[in-house]
Amino acid sequence: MPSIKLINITKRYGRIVALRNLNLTVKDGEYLCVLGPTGSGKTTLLKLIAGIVKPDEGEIYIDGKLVNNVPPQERNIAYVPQHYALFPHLSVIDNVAFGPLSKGFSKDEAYKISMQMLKMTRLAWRANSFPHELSGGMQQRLALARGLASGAKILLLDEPLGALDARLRVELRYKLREIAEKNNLTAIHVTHDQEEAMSIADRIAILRNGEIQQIGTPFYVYNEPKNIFVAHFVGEANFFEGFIAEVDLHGSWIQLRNGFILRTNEIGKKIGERVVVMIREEKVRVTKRVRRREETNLFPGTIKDISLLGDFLSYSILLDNGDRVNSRIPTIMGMKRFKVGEKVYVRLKPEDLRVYPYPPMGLYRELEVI
Amino acid sequence: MKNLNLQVRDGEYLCIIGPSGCGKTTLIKCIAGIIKPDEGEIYVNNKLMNNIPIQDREIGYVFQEIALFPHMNVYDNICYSPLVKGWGISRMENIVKEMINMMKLQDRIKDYPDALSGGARQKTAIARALVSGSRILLLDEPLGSLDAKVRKILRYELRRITKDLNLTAIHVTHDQEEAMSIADRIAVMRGGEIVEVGTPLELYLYPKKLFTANFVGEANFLICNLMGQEGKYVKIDINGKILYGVPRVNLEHKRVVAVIRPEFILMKKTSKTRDSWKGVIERKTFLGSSIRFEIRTKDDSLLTVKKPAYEATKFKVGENVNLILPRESLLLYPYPREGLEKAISIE
Repeated sequence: MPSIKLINITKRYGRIVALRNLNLTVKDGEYLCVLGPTGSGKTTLLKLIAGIVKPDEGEIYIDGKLVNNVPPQERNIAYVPQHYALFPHLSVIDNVAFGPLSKGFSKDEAYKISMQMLKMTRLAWRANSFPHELSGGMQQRLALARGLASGAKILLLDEPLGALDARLRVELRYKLREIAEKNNLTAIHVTHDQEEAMSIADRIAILRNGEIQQIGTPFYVYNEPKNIFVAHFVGEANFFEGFIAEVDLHGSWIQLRNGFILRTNEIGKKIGERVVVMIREEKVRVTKRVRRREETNLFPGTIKDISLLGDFLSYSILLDNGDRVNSRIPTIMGMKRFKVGEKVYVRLKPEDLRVYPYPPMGLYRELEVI
Repeated sequence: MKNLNLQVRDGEYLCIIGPSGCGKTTLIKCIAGIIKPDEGEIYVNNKLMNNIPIQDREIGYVFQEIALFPHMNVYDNICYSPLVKGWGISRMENIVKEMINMMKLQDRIKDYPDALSGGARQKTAIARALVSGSRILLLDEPLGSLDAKVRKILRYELRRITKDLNLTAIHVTHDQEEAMSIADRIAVMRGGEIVEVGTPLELYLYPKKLFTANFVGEANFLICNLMGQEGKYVKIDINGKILYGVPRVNLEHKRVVAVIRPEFILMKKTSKTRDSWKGVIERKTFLGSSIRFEIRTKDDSLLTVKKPAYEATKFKVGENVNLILPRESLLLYPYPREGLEKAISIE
């Protein structure tokens, strides 16, 4: 039986439609990440499930029960808001015990559970400190411990790592996942950070302007992005504008800017159709020497910039036709290879290319996240 | 801050990174003149700045909390500094127009701050700082409140614009990936002190300190015992497993920490060499362009290995593998007095 089901949910704030006809099923024990830019409706989604706001249309089911009119405290859900909302006047352990105590547990029981949660989040040694005395990472763990102590089987996390340093985010996200797993919880974790979502989610739901663009495992969403927005938001992608110049049984030829022709395996296209071609940065091959100049999908260009990303190097290349392409290769492989200003060849394999219809609002608008 | 020494070269893009509370904001506020140091001197262009007020320091400052004037639109916000400084109208208009085009704010000039997206607000704040004509730009978490995707796009714009205008930039951030991707050099700070300064590649490939190895990128840390020198390599013992590494600094004591980045460990299904370390894949995480593995070795060490996705799909959880830690990539450091966990803790 699925844990949470949202059917045709619409939520408006005045004239703004925060969520539009949204359908979502979260399986029991699943760790689902809801990924999207600021303003996409992620927080509204959590608040609806938590019961803090009511939908204008649609139904919410938790464990098979319709909960539209069930108040938050009776939904058996732990909601951890973005800035934790820790009780500043209560000590760490009192913060955690609050939930169980409110539910009517005895003092002994409540504090026993609280200590357990603190041990699990490695905060037991700070039980008597106050929130403002804790570091950001510890406050996050306290918020989590408090959520867990409620005994709820569903955990709603709104940007749980948002207030933390980048490096700490990477460390703690796996701990977050571990804790949810150990306690057999169903978790919905909202974030704008795709790397975070990819590394810990069972499935990712990509949200944009109140609508789910795609939902699936990290592998699926990354390798089979349904549209340009998903391809752009999850991972790094290059986009080329062009139109279908020729078609045949096995693929099509696409005319790019200034005469460059691209071969793809995309079939069923119409000549003249305006398209956008996408290729992931790590699939763009860069080489100095070529054996045969007439090879398909081999384009000359110049390296404009080299950037270190840690285990990957990123090359920004200006192709001779004016298009820009980014290529990333493992740092160990790329280190002494190329220099800024060097003339190179870029090779794009047809099987690595995905073709999308040209978006009605233009490519720039479609990619706009700023 | 404690006895801090730092030199920033003309035209350099320097990033200062470190965990929250390390003193990086204090440092940048001292350079700006917002805070006065208790001891020491600050020189800008060889001029002593200690008693010179903020407005006379010829420095452009972009705050962590974007302090745009709420009652002025984008255009007026950007014009503020030149207006106050009494520039001629045409000179001001030219420069402001150039800046607006550079920051791609043409569609927003009539908007007020509360109607702007986070990214647009940030761009306005940066434009405003740049227009002031200062040769030095101080950026305190300039991309702080923005979505991850937006940060990734804007950071390159920041570098491009400062380089195009020949400015010197000091950019404070907690995000080491951001720093690595755009800095000429990076200063790593911790507990009020500068731990290390170097180019992104230097800090990533040859960190001098354990803290740097952990803070910049991900690393495996293995506690081991020094066995002896063999040519340019040092022989070490990790729970019975013999390996070879390169000392990063002088190793005086027996207890040593060996460090290797996840992507430098070779992983094979079978191996004929004696050097290889046997283990089992405990966890496999798909990250997009790469896959991250957690391997438990026979002697119970846990190693993180990263591989490009196309190479790694054939490995499965539960499988036995052979790990090879190439000598050149295994860096050796003395075991820290305060213990390993404390030495590398990023909190």
